Amino acid sequence: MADTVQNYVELHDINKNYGDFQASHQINFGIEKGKLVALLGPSGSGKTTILRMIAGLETPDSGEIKIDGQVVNHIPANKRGIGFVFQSYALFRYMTVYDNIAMGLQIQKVPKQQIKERVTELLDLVSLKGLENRYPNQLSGGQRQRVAFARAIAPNPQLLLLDEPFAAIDAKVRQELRSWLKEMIGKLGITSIFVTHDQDEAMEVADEIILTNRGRIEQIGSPSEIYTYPKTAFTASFFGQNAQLEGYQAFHTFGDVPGADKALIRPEFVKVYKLDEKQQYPESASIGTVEQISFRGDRTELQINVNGLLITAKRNLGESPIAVGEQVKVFLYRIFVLKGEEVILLENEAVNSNYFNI
Amino acid sequence: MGHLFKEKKKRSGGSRLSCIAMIGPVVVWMLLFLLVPLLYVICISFLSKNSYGGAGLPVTLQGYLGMLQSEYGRIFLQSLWLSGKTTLICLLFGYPFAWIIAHAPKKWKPFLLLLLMLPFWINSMIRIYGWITLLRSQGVVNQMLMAAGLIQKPLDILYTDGAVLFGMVYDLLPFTVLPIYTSIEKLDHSLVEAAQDLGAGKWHVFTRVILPQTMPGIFAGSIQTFIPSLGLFYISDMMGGAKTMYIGNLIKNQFLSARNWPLGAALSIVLILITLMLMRLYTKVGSLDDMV
Ligand SMILES: Nc1ncnc2c1ncn2[C@@H]1O[C@H](COP(=O)(O)OP(=O)(O)O)[C@@H](O)[C@H]1O
Ligand SMILES: [Mg+2]
Repeated sequence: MADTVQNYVELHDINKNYGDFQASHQINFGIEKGKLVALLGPSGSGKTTILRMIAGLETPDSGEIKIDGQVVNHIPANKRGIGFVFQSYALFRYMTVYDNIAMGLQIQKVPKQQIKERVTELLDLVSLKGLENRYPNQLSGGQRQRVAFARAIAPNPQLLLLDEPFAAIDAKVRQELRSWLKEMIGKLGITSIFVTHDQDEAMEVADEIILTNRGRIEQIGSPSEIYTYPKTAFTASFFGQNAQLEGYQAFHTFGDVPGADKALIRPEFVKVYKLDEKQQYPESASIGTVEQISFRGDRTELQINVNGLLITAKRNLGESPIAVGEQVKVFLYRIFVLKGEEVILLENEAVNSNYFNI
Repeated sequence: MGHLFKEKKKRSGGSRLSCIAMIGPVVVWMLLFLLVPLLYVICISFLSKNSYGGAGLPVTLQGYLGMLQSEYGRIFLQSLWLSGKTTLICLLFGYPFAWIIAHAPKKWKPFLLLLLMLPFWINSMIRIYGWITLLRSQGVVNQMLMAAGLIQKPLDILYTDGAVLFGMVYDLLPFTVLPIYTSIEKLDHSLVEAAQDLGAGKWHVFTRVILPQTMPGIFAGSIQTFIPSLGLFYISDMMGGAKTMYIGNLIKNQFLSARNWPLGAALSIVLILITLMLMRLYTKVGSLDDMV
């Protein structure tokens, strides 16, 4: 990792074991000040462990954690000045909303009047005005989440950590809270790391994604970078709505990668034509049968059987409808070929022969 | 709380008959061994003392009026004071005790809990006799101290108010420890971590997170200690040499030596009322427990 950019948070060669289990293996990354970063990965991949080590709630077995240029390995959690929003919120059940939010400031012995001003300001910020005398069990999930957020930022932390902040909230409110949180963190300018297992959430909210898998980091990059140019087989298969193909060579217009025969196809790589529709590259399309159609609101999703390989494709509502059992032409723009841990992006040679634009 | 109870009753309901079959024996038992003696005591408390040392007609308020003597008021206060001290000391020792058990390695816990319960298997009076043989002037403790040359003549350990307090604490400590232990076991550790992230050191973690969460246990433990301590007459008899009078002794004496049954019964009724009031507090704590 280049030291040219001054990172606010840096992890160097972090390892952490629970007994024989390797929860973190050689974790390295840096986060620039003011960035909103997602730690993304499947459940059990070690995201929470990383977050807890940064917060000081867990001690790494080896490696260095730096915050603002200072090694913090031996600084206890209560001296790190980091805000933490727990997955289960961990609100103090026996305290009112007001006292929950005020707790950090009370510990710092901030004068009462100042605490009152700050809490009032925060209640306003998270739209909980009038609820300050309620107890956590008298709030909805979304309200609790906002109390947890207000409590964490009340002492003005320079770094905010959020563990699955939306996991316990129902789908509809979750969408609102995502945009709310992104806006809020942008406004406050706090360097933030949030954990999620939801790729859509990470891509929508984060400036940068750190993808974890089995205690290791698979890839780091901006959402579009990591989505479009996966560097490992895991990354390629984690993002998007992939169909896996055994024996991709059946689609003869792709180059051959020696030693590999698995490929991933995302729906956006596929174009479907009715037999009578005009098509740009007629010689390189395959014929398939539509097996299933699911309505998705703004589009339909087709499951197409091409020589025994099942491919998912999308079709916009404006296009002429296709029926189950119909024969269609299927054209693949590109595929991800998997070779062990590697992933190779192959373009359809028919496209390449005409023009080089992707 | 009340509505929770109703729900439970509805669920376990089944048929009315099976319900009666289930609680029937309990009701009979309660009637026979609780309600009947209680009614008997209430009746006696309104009778007058007769010349044979029992109770008889006419119906009077003698028993209750007799309680108004300033001496008895003092004894009541003394008892409350002793019980209060006992409860406080039990809390001071019991809390760390419960904490140690709750944080002991998993395989040790059942053993430590067993040690705590072990005294229950031996009659409490016998255990008090044990202490007497240890603490009396020719007892093991004094002999050892003299043999070691630490003291010249035996210390007066036994038959002091301190000895009574010690005996009470010894006898009731498990009642304090168990509810506190339960509440410590239930502690939500993520709240401790949340407080640490907000900058809380050991002191704030204890006062702002651990204490409030274990308050129901502290409350329950206090009441479970305080109530039985009010009626423990034999400890002050045996370890205090009956030098200072407490409610328990007073009641016992009215029935066995002073032979004033109406007064004894009236005192009992007042003690029961105090206890009931405390029990009410206790059920309030139950609903507090739901919240924490
Ligand atoms: N305190 C612990 N003791 C033992 N194993 C743990 C502990 N914490 C986490 N683990 C294990 O480490 C792995 C990673 O956990 P975690 O970091 O919580 O994953 P994630 O947040 O990505 O779901 C999991 O398999 C989990 O069982
Ligand atoms: Mg997690």
